Amino acid sequence: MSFLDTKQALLTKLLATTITGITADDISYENGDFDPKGKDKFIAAYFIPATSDTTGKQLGAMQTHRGIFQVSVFVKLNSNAYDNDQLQIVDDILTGFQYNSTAVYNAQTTNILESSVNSGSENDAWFKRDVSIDYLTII
Amino acid sequence: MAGSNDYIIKLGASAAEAVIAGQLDGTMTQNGAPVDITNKADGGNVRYLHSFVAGKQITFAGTFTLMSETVQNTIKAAIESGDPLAGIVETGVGGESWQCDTWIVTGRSDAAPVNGVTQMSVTFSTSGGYTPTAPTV
Repeated sequence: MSFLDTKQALLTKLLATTITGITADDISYENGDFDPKGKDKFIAAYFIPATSDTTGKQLGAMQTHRGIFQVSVFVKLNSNAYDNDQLQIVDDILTGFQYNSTAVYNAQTTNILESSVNSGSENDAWFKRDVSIDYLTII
Repeated sequence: MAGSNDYIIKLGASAAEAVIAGQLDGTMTQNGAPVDITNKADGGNVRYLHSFVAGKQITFAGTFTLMSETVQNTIKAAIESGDPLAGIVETGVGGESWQCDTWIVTGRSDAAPVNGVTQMSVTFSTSGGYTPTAPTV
């Protein structure tokens, strides 16, 4: 059971997802320097562990981890395209993270559960919308 | 004081029992009732037969994470066949336990929630005699 492997699995899946107008350089990671200057859209990935549970009382029992993989989608404020580009990106992300799909890293499987999208909001010079992807890892 | 995680049922021959993988919640119930031998001479009071318990039995209702594991599979087979299993319920408190060579397993119920881990609930019931070990301080 590894939080690191879960995060890596989710990020790997995000990188493997084709997202309109977003390249690997347009993704902001946690605790990493990212300068959006000159960009008109970018996404930011957040790994949010929530709960841990056990599968049994015995020594060495397996664990289950649940949490949220949040991808925030930023587009320039007051765009001529409204939020169309943003919603296209959201659609692309959700296509990559379909319900019941899996992400594997270092032989650990992470299950993708439901995803939700919130309403957009202004965030400095950007218009932001969050995609929240519930995950479950069982080892 | 011991934590509840020490309160488990183990299966196998006496003194060689194995922990069942995936045990979650469990409830032990000690069944038994006094025998009423009230008669007219008791003047209207209730009188029980002393030093005798009718319907003596230990039951243990447990919930397990469903998995393909040797001891768990033994339980599943025993439910299907009705064959008894040897095992012991240990409280983890003062060494108290109840050992029986003939636990009967019944009442399997599997819960398979959406987006969750599948769990199996079963009930172990002693058939015939069992050996209690009293707790010590």
